[in-house]
Amino acid sequence: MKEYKWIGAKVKRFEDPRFLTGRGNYIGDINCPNQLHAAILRSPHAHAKIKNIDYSDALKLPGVFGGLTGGDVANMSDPFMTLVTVPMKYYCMAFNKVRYVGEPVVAIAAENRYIAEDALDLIKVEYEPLTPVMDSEKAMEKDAPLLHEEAGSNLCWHDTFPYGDIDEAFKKADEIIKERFTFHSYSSTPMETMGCIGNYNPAEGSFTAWSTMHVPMLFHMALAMALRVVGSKLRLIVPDVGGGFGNKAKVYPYVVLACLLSKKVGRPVKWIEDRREHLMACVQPPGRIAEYEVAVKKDGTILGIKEKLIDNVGAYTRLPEPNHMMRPFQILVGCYKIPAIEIDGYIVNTNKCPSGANRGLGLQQYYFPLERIIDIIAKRLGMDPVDIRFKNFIQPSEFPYTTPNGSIYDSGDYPNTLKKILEMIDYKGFRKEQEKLRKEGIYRGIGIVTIVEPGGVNIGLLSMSLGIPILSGADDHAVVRVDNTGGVTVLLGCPSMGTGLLTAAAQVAADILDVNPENINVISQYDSSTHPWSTGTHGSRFACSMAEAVAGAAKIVRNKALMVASGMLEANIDDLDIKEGLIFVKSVPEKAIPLARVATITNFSTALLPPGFEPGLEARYAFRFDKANLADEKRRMNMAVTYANSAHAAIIEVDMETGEVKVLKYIVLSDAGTMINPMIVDGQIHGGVIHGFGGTFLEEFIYDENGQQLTTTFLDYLLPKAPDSPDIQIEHTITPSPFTSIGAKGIGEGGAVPVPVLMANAIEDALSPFSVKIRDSRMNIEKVWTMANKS
Amino acid sequence: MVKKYAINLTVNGINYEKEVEARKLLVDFIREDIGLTGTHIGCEHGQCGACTVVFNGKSLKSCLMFAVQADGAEILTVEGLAKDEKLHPIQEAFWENHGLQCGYCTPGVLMSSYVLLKENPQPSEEDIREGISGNICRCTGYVNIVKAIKEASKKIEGAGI
Repeated sequence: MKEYKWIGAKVKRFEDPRFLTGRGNYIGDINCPNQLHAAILRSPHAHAKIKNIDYSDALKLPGVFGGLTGGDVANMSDPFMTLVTVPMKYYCMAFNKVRYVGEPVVAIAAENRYIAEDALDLIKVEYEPLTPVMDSEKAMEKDAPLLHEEAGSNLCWHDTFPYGDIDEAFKKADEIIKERFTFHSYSSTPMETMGCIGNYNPAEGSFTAWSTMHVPMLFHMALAMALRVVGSKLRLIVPDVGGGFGNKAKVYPYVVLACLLSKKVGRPVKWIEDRREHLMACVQPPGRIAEYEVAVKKDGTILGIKEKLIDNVGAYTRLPEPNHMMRPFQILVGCYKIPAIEIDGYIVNTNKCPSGANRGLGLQQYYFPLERIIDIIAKRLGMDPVDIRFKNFIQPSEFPYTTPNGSIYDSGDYPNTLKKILEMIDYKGFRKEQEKLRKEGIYRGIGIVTIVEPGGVNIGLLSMSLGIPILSGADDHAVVRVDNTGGVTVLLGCPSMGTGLLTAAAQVAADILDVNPENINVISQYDSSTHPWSTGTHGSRFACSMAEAVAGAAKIVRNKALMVASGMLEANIDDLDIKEGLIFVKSVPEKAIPLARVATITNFSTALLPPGFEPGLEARYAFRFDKANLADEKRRMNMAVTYANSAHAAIIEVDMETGEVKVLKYIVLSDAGTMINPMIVDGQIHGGVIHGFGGTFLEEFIYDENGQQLTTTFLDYLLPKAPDSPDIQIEHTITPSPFTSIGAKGIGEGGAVPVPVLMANAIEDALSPFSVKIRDSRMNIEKVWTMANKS
Repeated sequence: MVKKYAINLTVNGINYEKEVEARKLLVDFIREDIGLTGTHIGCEHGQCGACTVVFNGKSLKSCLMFAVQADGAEILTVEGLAKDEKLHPIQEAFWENHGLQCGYCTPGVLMSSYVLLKENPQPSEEDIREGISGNICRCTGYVNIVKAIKEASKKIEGAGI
């Protein structure tokens, strides 16, 4: 294995100087000539029939150029495709009926946003209110108000997935533990809200859309089909993305809305979501109910788990739902050798904002009960939860390890990860101190969580919900080109959402080509009409998958360059090497030719090229992960590319008077395999942990019983700020993935995933003298105070 | 026609004379009327700090003020921090310490840091966290922002700025 110069280095990010000097180029900064601005009138009702819409007065306002309603939308476009088989018409605007507060009802295009918003006040909409249903279990009852009449039920999907011999597991059990858990809805609310520009070109019958989304191509097909055009007639451009975190990874209805409005008024239309719209109508991940039955032996061995999972996905089952249910199939057994597991999954529509991804996409919802149950088992059996973990861990000698549902865990050393973090946090020492402090009335607790973090996605996972798995593959494509001056351009199939992948891609290309990364331009603006294919930036896939595509393309270019140089220098390819853009003969280093000169030969002197040599110094490479298989008859498949591992440990103190939880120590031990840029890896973990921290203590989308949203500003939907955010200590162990050339594992979400359950474990530990039981993920100050004082 | 008001203000050392509607937000004026798009909009209700600028020497959320109220003001935006293509020590420190990811909150955080370090050149960690408490960052968890401001303080002291 070659020593890398750039891979593994803490390289300062190449994208930063633009951002630091105010030269970022976000959707709000882009304008088209002759452009209009849209504003959207939204439903004040959670559930109602639309009897009449009259926006004629709005059209009379000077500066207003047109409007769009659900009726227009139904005429001009088709409902979005879904991944469930029940009929459900999801358009970009409400058609005949509204199903959540905030659903778009009328859109107005005007000279500027101020006028467009004025115009909304002049619109008259007549509604016939219907009874809303907000709770997923109530929505499944027979006489519940029906959201989608054509579906006949609010239960839009149900399936059962048995893996291993679950009956046998429960027969052999010494103890059966039953628990019910709930997980609340919170998001990541990127600082840049969403937005888009739609521009219809009647001469070509084509649309160009700019939008801030980080998974453009996974959903490009759905958007084009809704607009009734072939994909080549919908050009999707993604500029800098001001934070994504999954929230911008969905079928984005407003792209279609802006395109249709543009078609109707004949001018480009820009729409930028405001914060209220973002909070009430962009994306609210599903609340989950998880009913667990666990079969355990007296010694703490877990034999099997039956899980009934109910997801509340809101008014429409929008792509990529039902993936909060399916995504955790990548890591169903966590870090443990659980031989049998059964998932009984329910996806339910209610009168809430449609759900969508949030950093972790289902993993935090899944790990909450799984890592909670470890502590509960320990308590039941009178053991230490740490020992339950050690007892059930998959051992380092067992990799690659195939889980009961077919995931092939690549590598790891889970016992070592836990051992190390226990030393770092001084687990034994803390226990002694805890005892002493309790006598003084100070309640401290410790929480430990160990998880497997999937990187990359076998897209077959998306089709699991359709009954018969028909999809497969975890592929990413990249293009690498050397120009006639020796500059290198890299095109990625995925856009950047600010996580540093432009720098990481340059580091990879620099090492393979042996050029200075400062001469590499990884194009920051994604364009569906010019860039290679990828599903996009999601599921922690860059390091394990897209980076492999860059490496693959760079290797082809390198070999092409060496082939040309070998002719020019009259030397064997094997005798050549490249250093800083110069190709030379290893034994006679002064015999050399610059990479730039080689590039000019491939473009301008093609007669000199060897026979059969394809001109140009450019290559496109698709990383095809050979273990991204098709599901078998038992619906088992390997659903990720890499499986990173981490342990999180925290010591907290509960203020018994206020209910405030102070995080005194927060440690992450991460095994991300080879790190392309350790500085970026740590940054991902920092940000993730504080997302989880906000989600646990501050953030929740709250509705009243009528379906009104109570958290529509940052004064109600609170976010972590610097003074109340804990410092985070990170250490690494490195177990490279044997399945990829670089050995990097995806870790973009793992920081956020364990935090709610970690805090639950720690708080329950702190309050253990009061027999407190935590089964819900939300730990706001009132709730903790109540647990501390009313138990 | 909607009535417009003449205003005269200085942004990054350049004087502008413009006519604006009374209701135009200062942040919209900065972005649209003079084309400085480095100042961002994140919430429009004064909670996130993405629109923070330096206004007569103090940090200000420019979504909470109308442009007409800025008549006669002296404003510094993120575009005015670097001089002659050389980054300001605060910008350098953020770059070196990975104090930013998506870059959207960054201009506001930089401007708050600028005012903080002017008023308190050697802040403690607590001072720093308090000094940027008006700015929300969703990418960094603040860890490297705090580190960057500590480093910036040292750089500024060293350079005698």
